[in-house]
Amino acid sequence: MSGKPDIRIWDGPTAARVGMEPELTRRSFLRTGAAALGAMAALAAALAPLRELGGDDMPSLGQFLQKHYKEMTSDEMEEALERIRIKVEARFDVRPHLRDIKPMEGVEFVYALNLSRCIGCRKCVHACVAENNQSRSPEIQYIRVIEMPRGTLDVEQGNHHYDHPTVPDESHFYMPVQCHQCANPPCVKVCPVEATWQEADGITVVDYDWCIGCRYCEAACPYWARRFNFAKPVLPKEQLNPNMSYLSNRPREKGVMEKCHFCLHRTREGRMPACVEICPTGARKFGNVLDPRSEVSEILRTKRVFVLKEEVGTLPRFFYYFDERYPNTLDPEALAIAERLRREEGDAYGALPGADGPSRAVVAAAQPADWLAPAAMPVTGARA
Amino acid sequence: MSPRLVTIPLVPAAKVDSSALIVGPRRVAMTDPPQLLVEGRSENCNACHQVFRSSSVTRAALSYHQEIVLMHGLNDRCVNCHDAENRERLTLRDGETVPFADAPRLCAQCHGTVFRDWERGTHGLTLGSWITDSDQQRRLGCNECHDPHSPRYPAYVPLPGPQTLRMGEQDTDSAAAHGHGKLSPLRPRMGKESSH
Repeated sequence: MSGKPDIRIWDGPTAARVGMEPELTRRSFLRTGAAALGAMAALAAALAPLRELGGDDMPSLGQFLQKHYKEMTSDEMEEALERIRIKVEARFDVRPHLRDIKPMEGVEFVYALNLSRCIGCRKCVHACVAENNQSRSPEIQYIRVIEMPRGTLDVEQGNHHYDHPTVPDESHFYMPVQCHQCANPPCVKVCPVEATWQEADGITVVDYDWCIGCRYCEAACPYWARRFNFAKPVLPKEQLNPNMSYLSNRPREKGVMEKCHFCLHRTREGRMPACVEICPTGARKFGNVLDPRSEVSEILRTKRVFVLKEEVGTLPRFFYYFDERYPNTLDPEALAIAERLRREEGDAYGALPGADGPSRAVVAAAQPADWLAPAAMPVTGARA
Repeated sequence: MSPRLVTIPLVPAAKVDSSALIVGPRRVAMTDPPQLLVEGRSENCNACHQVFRSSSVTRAALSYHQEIVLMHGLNDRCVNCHDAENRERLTLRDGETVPFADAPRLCAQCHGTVFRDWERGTHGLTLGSWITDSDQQRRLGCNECHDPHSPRYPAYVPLPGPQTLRMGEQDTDSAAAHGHGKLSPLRPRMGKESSH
């Protein structure tokens, strides 16, 4: 001990300053040993819940040590993909076509939904489930179709559980809601582990291997777009979609969050999302907003669009719009015109202007003067 | 306070017939030139119409083509759209005739605003690809969704509604404690099973 004052708690910096090697004393040996033992005990306690997992749920060492998505090299990603392929094949007897697809250059995805055309048939909901390998029990769906009374946009008055023999019901309209892929996403801000983030093409993704299941994002989302796997997802083998990617529809585990990702395993390869293609009325539109000739760009330029809950400042990439219809069978003015024609034209009623129909003048007189003129509309972008 | 155990209701998803999820045009449009099955044989229109003359103005019940249900509003005469001389072509109002493949030009004469939307891609169904001018992209024509004789969309039988957590019945007593029964999209409607 050589007369050294033995009251210092930690002598590292002092030893370095005076150029001395820290001396191994009995006391410091015991202190270090106790700390090491404590750390091991803490690690064991932290890993204890893993012991309760069954064989299938037990993460392999490779999965346990897997890095964050953004930190993985391409080799490490390939390792992770192969690990997932093996796991999926063991569980579903199908070797999946699994890959990690990066965003395309110069692409920002935008979705538009025509509320005048949606009939509430729920095909999009079930096409999405079939495409994206959601759990069938408990049931997980990304799209909610809300039946709304005409004359309001207050979703609190909506109903998910409409059960008419046929749709649409004349006194309602239908508003499907899914992830709005916000440009200012609250779900990303609240994630404590950065397991969810916005990609360059505007899609907010989840790394299912990084999510800790705290559900902060579910609480933060004003569009009720996030779904949590409260129980182990059940997906019958024959219903697995083997076309999958890391950030989208690969099978999920219990305890992780998931949500709509604009079918990025399809859309990043140029295809349409499943919900767009199944829509029997063409109410759903999808495309690249950076392309001025895309369908969504045309909609943003020429239609009256709105976003849900604009006031919360999330800047959604999901737009709703209505068509202006003329003539409208619900429009009393249009009905009055038709009635008058029927009375005045007698037997000629119904024939188009021409050889044996009413004169063009008669038809023109029955219509507002400018009904054939193109509607004035704001032009916001450059047009060819 | 110790965490309360909540059971997760394992309601299996309702079965959906896979035929309801087939992607493609809603109906098969007429070919150009149109073919019709007559006595089991595929025939062109003019095989009959060059032989039998039919009235150009009549709205009387058809003696042939009785499968056609005509519910096109004011437009209830064959020759408003079909060319009176050549039934394998369609007629525009200025007398010009167009082949069946150009049917949208005919529809556009009355449905101008919808035609304008369709040309821009803001009306109608686009399949294949979102990439403008892609070979894979296919924009359906008017008559691949609408029956020209009864263009109004038929009613659909809706697919099963959600039984998901947060949208269906929740197996917790906290739901009742927190004003269950308020009309909220996050909760099922209590008291009335469904609202018709």
